[in-house]
Amino acid sequence: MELPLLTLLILIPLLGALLILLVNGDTLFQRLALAVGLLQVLLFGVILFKTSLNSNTIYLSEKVNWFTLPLGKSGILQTHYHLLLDGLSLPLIGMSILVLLIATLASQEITNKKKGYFSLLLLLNASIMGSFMAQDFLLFYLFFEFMLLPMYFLIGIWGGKRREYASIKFFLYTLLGSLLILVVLIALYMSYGQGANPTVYSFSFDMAQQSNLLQADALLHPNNFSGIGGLSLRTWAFIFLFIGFGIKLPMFPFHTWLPDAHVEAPTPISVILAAILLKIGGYGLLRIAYPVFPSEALQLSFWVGLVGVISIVYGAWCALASKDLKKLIAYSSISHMGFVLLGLASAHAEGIAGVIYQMISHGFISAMLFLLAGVLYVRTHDRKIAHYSGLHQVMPVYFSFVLIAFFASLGMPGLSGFMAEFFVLTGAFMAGGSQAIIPFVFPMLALVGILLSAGYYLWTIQRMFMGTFHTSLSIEKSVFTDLSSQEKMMLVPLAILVFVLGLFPQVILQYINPFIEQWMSVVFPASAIGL
Amino acid sequence: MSQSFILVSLICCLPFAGMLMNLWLRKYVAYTSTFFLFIINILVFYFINQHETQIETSLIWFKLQSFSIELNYYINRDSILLLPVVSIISFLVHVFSIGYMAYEKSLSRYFNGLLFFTASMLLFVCAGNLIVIFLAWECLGLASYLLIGFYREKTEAGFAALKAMLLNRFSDLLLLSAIILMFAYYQSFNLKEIIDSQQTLPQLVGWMLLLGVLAKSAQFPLMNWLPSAMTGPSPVSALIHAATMVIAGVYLMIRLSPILPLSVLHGLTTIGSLTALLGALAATQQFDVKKILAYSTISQLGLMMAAVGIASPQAAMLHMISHAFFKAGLFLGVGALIHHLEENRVNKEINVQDIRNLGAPYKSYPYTFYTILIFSLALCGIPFTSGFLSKEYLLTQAWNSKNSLSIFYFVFIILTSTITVIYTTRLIVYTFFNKSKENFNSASSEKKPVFLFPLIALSIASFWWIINFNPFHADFYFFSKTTFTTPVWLTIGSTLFFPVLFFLAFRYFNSRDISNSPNQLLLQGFALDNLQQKLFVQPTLFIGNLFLSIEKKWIDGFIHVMAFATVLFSHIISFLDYWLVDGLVRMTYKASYTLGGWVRVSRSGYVQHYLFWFLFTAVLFIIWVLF
Repeated sequence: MELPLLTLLILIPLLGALLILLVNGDTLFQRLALAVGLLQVLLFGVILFKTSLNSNTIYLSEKVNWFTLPLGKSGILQTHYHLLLDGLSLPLIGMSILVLLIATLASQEITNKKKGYFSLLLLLNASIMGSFMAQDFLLFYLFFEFMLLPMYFLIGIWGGKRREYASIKFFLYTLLGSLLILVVLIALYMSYGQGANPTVYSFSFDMAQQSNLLQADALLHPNNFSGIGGLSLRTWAFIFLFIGFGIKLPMFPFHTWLPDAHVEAPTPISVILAAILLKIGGYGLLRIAYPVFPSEALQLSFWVGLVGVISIVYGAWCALASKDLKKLIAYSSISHMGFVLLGLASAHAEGIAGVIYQMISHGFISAMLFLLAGVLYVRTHDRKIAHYSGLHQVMPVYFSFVLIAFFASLGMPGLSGFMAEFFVLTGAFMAGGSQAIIPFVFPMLALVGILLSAGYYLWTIQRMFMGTFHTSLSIEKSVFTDLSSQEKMMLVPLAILVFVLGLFPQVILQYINPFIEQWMSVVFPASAIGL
Repeated sequence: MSQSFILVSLICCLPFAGMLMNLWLRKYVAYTSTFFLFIINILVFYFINQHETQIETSLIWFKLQSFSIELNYYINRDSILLLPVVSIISFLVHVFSIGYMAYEKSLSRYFNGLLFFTASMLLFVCAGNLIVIFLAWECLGLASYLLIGFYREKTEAGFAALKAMLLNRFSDLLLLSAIILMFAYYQSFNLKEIIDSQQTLPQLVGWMLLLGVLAKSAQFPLMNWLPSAMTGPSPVSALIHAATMVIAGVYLMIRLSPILPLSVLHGLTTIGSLTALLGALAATQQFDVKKILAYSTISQLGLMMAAVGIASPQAAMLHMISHAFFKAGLFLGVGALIHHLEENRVNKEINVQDIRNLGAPYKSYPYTFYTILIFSLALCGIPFTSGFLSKEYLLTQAWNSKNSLSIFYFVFIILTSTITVIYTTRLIVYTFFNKSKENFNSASSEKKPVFLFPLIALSIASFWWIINFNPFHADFYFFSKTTFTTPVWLTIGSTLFFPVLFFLAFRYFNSRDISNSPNQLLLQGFALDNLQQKLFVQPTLFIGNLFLSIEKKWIDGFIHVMAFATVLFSHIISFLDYWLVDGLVRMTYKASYTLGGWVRVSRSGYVQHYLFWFLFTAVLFIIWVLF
């Protein structure tokens, strides 16, 4: 019998969480969590091996019926437990597994209530895996919502001084987004049905992409002219999804939960938040919002691009003015996630490839950045940039990693960040050309964002690392020890990946390319964008 | 895969092998790096001798939907000329660094930086794909950033590196967008395909390209990073900020010159001429030896850029090569001098880079002095030097060109060259012939071969023979024999003019002390630092703070008001709930309680009461029945 590999990816952390609740022993919890992470890596290796034998665009898929609900006269509701691995989810899953493992390693700094911490971490792990693979909207929503719960407690219990404020803000913001998504979820299932007597309704993504399954009297039928505020219901549905996932991304002006959550969260949670959770926003747009509402998305490209560009520039400017290292990195995340929106708005294959590439690349880079911020915080319990100077003298190895991470993030060619931004910019410039999907000025403004990123990173290097060693904290110089071997163990793989993705993009593009070809043919066929 | 492809790839990759070796042989980084450069030189000369310029092979780097980026090389005459210049100067700088950096810490960082730079430069010279070119271009910037900031303890070194990187980054991003737009226009990133298509670039893209190369080649108004970049070690200044990296912008323009639109060419001439003059003027007022040379480099780069603009990339190429040798020589010579003087100064307070403190008797440092003199003469354009021939070629091209701006350029060359002679003699006189100030002892370590060999090699390369056998005719060996004639009056004029001017300037400076009240505007390099600070840096920081406060006050403020309103609303609801909804319920309950109380009175337990109520009811009943 074939092993249900995808289900195992979710099941293993769930069982791990259960096991942690059952056993006792202070050092055992982290080891168990690490074992789960390693098992997932192993499993992912097996999956990679299997996909190399497979030439389909969908590498693996597992589908069983979940539950059936008779709806009286109108038909039946059929839900599925449907997991799927394709060119979009495969790199994201791979990135998540690695980052989660590294975050587990970084959880060394957690000293209290370890049992709760690691079981929640594994719960989070399972729901992340689920949301990247679910192909049924209800199942996706379940996993998507379930991520909130462990995250709320992880920030609220193990966070910094203002943890309650940050965790509630995070929770409420994301909940608002989820509700918007829920509305569309319900509207969608009522609109797409298959067959007659009984009509089968479901939450399947596949069904929602087939316009011939639209019920004639459906809410979301393009011929349904009843709208609100001059916009059709379909447009509203897209806007709801856009805002719902945009909050997660996060996009301007729904981003203010992010800096607070990051500053208060413990290092490993910041890493997971920045590297993985933000990506679910982009993933949702790519997987649900665009394929289901392609023409509405194309109509609103200008606004999507505008929000993206504002996020890029605004985030970069806020980062420049930030005085707290973690806050700076958080704002830079907002800025870099703006590229996801810009790439989507371009409606070109290059831009979409850039979106996926940016999500992967930013996953690794931001993980590295937050780990590095954590390294300093663990030693001094202070993150103010102005409190340090000349750190290169006491922590030279640390400085080298900071250089790699900063330069990767500011878009140095040869490192992964450049490739992503290059693809997005290419797409955006092409879209700004003859078809004018978005104005030419958008990519130019994005360039301003990149320039500003060079500004804040290099200025930070100058302030914190150059010159002679000095700290305005009343701390012994001996506190500033260079990286421990464990910290190196976390940073080195990330640094290597950043280089590999920057120098050999084909590693990821071989998965992305077929996916995009298929995605573009469904969402933006050449006729739609006037090519 | 063709042999040449492998050879060029090997040349570009060898420095990385050197860096790996350095990890292993930590103690001998200087020697292993130099050794690797030596091998690279051998390979470069082997490659040039093959004369195989068409390398058709290419490797696919990556593929995306509509395009595939391949690693390929576009070797033409210009790259064949520049390749050995880069490798030779890099090798000499490595040799020089063995001595110059001997007592420095973190040597491996230094030599790895040099190797990384060399690799990027070689790749940049050969690469045939715009994206690969951009990659190499950015790596050049990174190497420059790391090496300018090599002395990490010095805060100003860090700031110089920061300034260099930011100005370059500004240009680079425009270059990147120009490249992407070129792709949109030509449907290709391949340099050869683009040039062979013979379609002129659209105006907008052309101008973006022009702005994209300004910073790297230190053109006005993005030139002020170069003087402050002199905080890096002198050999770095020689290699990166004089001979090779700064010509990258000119070189890229030379490569793309066949497709540049006319307005962009005019723009190049204008900006180049202006830069040449401004750089030369600023050089006359500097006190720091290395800054004089930096402004001089800016000025010469301007001449090259302008030469591309009058559609004479050959002249730009020729001047680039001759300039690379003598300017690298000048920096190394001055570096050697600084090194020797630092060892021999009487007290540590003396700044050996300030010409007001100098006045080292040239007899104590004969080798350094004579080599510096040769390089200076070449810079001034004195006959029998390479500088004379390349400048004559520039003048001839400007004179012969039918370009409408060429006369304007011709005048600028003469002006710039005149000022060049002035600041060069000023440098020579005050460095070597000044009345002895007793600042230095005369002991000397200048005979170390690691110092002497590069200087002598470069001075040999500063004579006319690297350009032509005939010291008065600027027909470069490698140029296809086009029919051009230098007007006789021009040859005679420049042969006489520059030596006479040199002699007069020498007499002038030698007879008086250095002026201590320089023109502040020129000393500050036209206050570009201040200007950029006021126009860009401060507003940017202001906007950043503004955004943060907007975020705190308005966005978060709005959220907090919303949260407060929600809480308030829920309090009101709870109030209403207590008094209205719950109140009604309680009222009902209370009413029935009271009613019950009244009724309960009847159940008192006395027989008399029951009897009374019984009779009372019975009487009522009887009355009701009867009536």
